[in-house]
Amino acid sequence: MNFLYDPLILMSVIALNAAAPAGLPAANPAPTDSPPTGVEMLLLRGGIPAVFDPRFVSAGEAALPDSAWILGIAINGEAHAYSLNLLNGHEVVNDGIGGNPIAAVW
Amino acid sequence: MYDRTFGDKILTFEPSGGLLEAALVMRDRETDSWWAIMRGQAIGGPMDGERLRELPNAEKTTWGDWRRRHPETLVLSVDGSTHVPDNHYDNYFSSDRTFRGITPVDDRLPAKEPVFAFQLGNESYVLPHRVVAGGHLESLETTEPDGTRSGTVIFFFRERGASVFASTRAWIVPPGLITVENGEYVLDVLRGDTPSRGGIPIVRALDALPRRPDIRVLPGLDTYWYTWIAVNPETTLLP
Repeated sequence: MNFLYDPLILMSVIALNAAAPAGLPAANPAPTDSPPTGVEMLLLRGGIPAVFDPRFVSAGEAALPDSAWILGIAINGEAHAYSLNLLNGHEVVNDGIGGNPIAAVW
Repeated sequence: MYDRTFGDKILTFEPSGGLLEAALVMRDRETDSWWAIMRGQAIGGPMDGERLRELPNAEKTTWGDWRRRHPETLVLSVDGSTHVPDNHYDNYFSSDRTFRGITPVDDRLPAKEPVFAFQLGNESYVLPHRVVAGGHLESLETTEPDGTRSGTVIFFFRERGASVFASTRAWIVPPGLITVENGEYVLDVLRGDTPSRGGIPIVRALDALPRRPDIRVLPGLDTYWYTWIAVNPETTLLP
């Protein structure tokens, strides 16, 4: 969710996250890149790291309480679940399922 | 949950570091365009104006519920973890406070009223969660992009007492498929079988029906009134 922009929270998230992964289109956070009207910039691009190469485990290997909230999608016999608490720290997961490239956004 | 395919391009998204009316703005790494989630489209860069396409079969629910329904599911793991116990936004979701103290622009509903926002034809609509609880039927007259007007019947569903996190379900249905009898919604499956009664059985029946062109899942966004209406002032408030 976008509430990580609260200063108290974002410092801990930034501290936990390393550089962007290799093998992807390079980010282009040019300093002269101006945001569209109305967009308030709070962090640098990449300050909250999206997930680009998601890894998955089976339901049996997952460590979530039954009461935890997840974002789920099922297509063509495949199902993916993403813990919302986990997504708090990344906001965007670039994934693929059932042959379709998808973005999980929270 | 969005489709990342745009014509011949597959885009890779990340947070831009910025917000529009306190809601997420993303960028893509292929074109550096800016994408405003609450507006559902790109607002700058080469893809300006391109709409984000929500996937209709994504939902928020509890792990226990999801695992029962999809035992074969895979679970995202980041840096070896599938979950973290803290939810920094617990205070936000359980309070009346707007994010970062934003002043609400439209007081037809309380700022933090949870709503389901969706689009039909050219127009945006919002329906409060409390109206949807237990099921809600809405009949809308809409204008298609080519100017023709048509009538659309939509069945919405939320379980009574559901958490604000739970996804609203919605289907465009043919008129007469779902009716109300003795204060209860009834689904007529048009096969002469016993009709389904009540919200949850209707949801199960709709999910189980063989695909038909006159029943379509309607995707939308569950959010708070103040954040949606700030970015989409032309929205029609239902019911």
